[in-house]
Amino acid sequence: MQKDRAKTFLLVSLVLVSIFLTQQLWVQIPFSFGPYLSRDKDRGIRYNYILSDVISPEKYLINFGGSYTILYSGSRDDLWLKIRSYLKGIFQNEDLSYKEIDETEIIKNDVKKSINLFFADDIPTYMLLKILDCKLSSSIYSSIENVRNIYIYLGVNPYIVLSNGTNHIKIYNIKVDTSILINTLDKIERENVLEYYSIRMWGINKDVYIPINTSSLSYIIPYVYVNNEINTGNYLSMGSVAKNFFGEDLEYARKIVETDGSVIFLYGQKGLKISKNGLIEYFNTLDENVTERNLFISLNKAVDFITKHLGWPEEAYLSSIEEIEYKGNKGYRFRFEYRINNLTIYSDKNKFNSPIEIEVFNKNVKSYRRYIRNISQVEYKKFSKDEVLPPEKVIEINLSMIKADLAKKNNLKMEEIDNFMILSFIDDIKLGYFDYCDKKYKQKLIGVWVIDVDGITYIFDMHDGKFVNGGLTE
Amino acid sequence: MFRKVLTGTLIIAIICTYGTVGYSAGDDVEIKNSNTNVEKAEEGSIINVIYPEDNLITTDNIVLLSGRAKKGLKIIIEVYSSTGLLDVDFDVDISSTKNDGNEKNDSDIEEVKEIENTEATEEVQTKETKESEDTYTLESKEVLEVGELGVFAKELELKQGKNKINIYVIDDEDEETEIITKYVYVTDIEKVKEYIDKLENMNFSETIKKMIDSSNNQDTSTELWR
Repeated sequence: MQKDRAKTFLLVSLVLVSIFLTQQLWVQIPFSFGPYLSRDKDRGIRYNYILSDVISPEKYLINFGGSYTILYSGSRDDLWLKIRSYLKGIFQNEDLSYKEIDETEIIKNDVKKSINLFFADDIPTYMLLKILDCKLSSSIYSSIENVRNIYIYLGVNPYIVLSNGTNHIKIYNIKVDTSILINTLDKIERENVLEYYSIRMWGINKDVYIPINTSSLSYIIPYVYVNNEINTGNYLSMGSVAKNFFGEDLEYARKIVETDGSVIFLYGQKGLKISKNGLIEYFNTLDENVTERNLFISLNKAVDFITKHLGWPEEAYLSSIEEIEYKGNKGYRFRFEYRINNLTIYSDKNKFNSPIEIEVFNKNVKSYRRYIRNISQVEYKKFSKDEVLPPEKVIEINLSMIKADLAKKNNLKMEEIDNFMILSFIDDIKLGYFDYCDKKYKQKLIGVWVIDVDGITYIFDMHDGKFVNGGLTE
Repeated sequence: MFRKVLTGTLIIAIICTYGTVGYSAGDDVEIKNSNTNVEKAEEGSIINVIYPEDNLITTDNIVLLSGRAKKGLKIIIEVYSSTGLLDVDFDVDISSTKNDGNEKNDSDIEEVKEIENTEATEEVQTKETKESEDTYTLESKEVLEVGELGVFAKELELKQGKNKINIYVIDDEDEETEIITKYVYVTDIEKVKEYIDKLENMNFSETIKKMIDSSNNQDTSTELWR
């Protein structure tokens, strides 16, 4: 009797477990088995980032030999790692053959494999060499100070081109083995990536790549729900965050609770404000006068500081470097973005300029602002109810707004702008997620198209093309 | 008894802690290479088909159809396949009258989202007819409506052999004008190599030269083809 009972119990529980696991994988049951069970999706893993992880491209344009795709993350098949070791092999050679070339000389050979890396901001060349662990070949550094993108050509006579907005340096006579990269590209191609086409297909003399067959995107891009990374409703958790910044001094720190619910901790010259919505702001004064800025020291300090103070979100990357001055001291403001499910998260520029922003003066951190979300749930769509519109349709839906902005910016009348002309003004089209930042828990991220037209960034909902954010700022 | 309950609970605990269920990484859709080239083809007044160029020879069965057209225009695209032998006979004079590589063809049956008019929205898929000479089987028929930007783009799925793409334009008065026909030959790399070998002494256009290069992408003996 007891035996039977035990067996029944075991059987029933096994069935329940398999239902639960199946639910996770295939079926959408109307209710979920309690919020805490989906916590395993909470990827609040703190990566131990080093500099070479954080300085990474924003996107990769891959040419498989006539057909293109765009990847937003270099972790796929360790692509960024392999590219780094390839570049290291090139730059390690003290005897580099290079020459300055004109934009017109960059023959983008359509039929050979290549990778084009795009960084979010100009990366100083010497920083790039440092993260590749190479000695500085000073002559290269004087020819090109910053690098915005790197074109890696993998044909029979491989070469690379370092470019920024103005000049291009071609490094040729490369003896490094290209087979690892070529094999990686082949592997990625076999993994069925979405094909992108250049807008040259419409006779425009510009290379901006967009997908045409966007219907598959509705299956590839899941719904993502996020939570704040710290629980601002709970004083204990806020206290532990503060302890991270102040250490033992927290006991002697002054605590102020504001009327809007945010908490401020002050100790000496240091201050920490945790807002109700999850924004963390830390400030401090400089211990010393810094009259000469050093990018390497500052960036290292920034990366180190962030690693020790709440860590890095997934797939974080450096998105901007700005020189700043404060009371005669010289330093930098670094901004970092991060990705969830390989897509960068954008938010209202008026609320947060970027998820992580830090002001560093060599070894001194002056301020640190942070608003990071953790994934609470990822849902892949099983039915294509919500079709993803192709980018040109999205532009068509918002045509009058874009035309008005272009007219304003270029001092033209709206009638003077031909619709087709707008396509030639497009600088970039990317996929991303948008965070409205108005919920602390279970905030649904909106899948968006981020379209840059003549320097103006627009964010549109990918399903219905509605305007979400961006546009011409007054 | 107690031991059994304990073992049972232990097993369940082990299963439950195995929390990392495979994520349906549902990554991308299968789309292969495309070797379409850049030349402008016809010059219609209300429609200009930029890709594909006529008599395109490619090794990829997905071909881009794109170009510019007047706003609001309805474009009907019909894809025909030619059935028959697998051999593609490469001749310098590759014209539409030749009965070249005929094989089964299939086409992309995806419905275009731009379609607002339900009139001509049917998609026809026919079974492969065997061994007919010079006949074309309608594989699919779709309607595209050109939006405000005056551009259109569509991926067409073809099969090995000779394909015919008919493009009709319906203007405001609901009349058919401008019929553009494009031929696309889908073959595979080995055959191209073979035939190019034979025709080594002939003058190729840059298009074909590039295709030779692409087929020898990873081959270090590419120099041969240059």
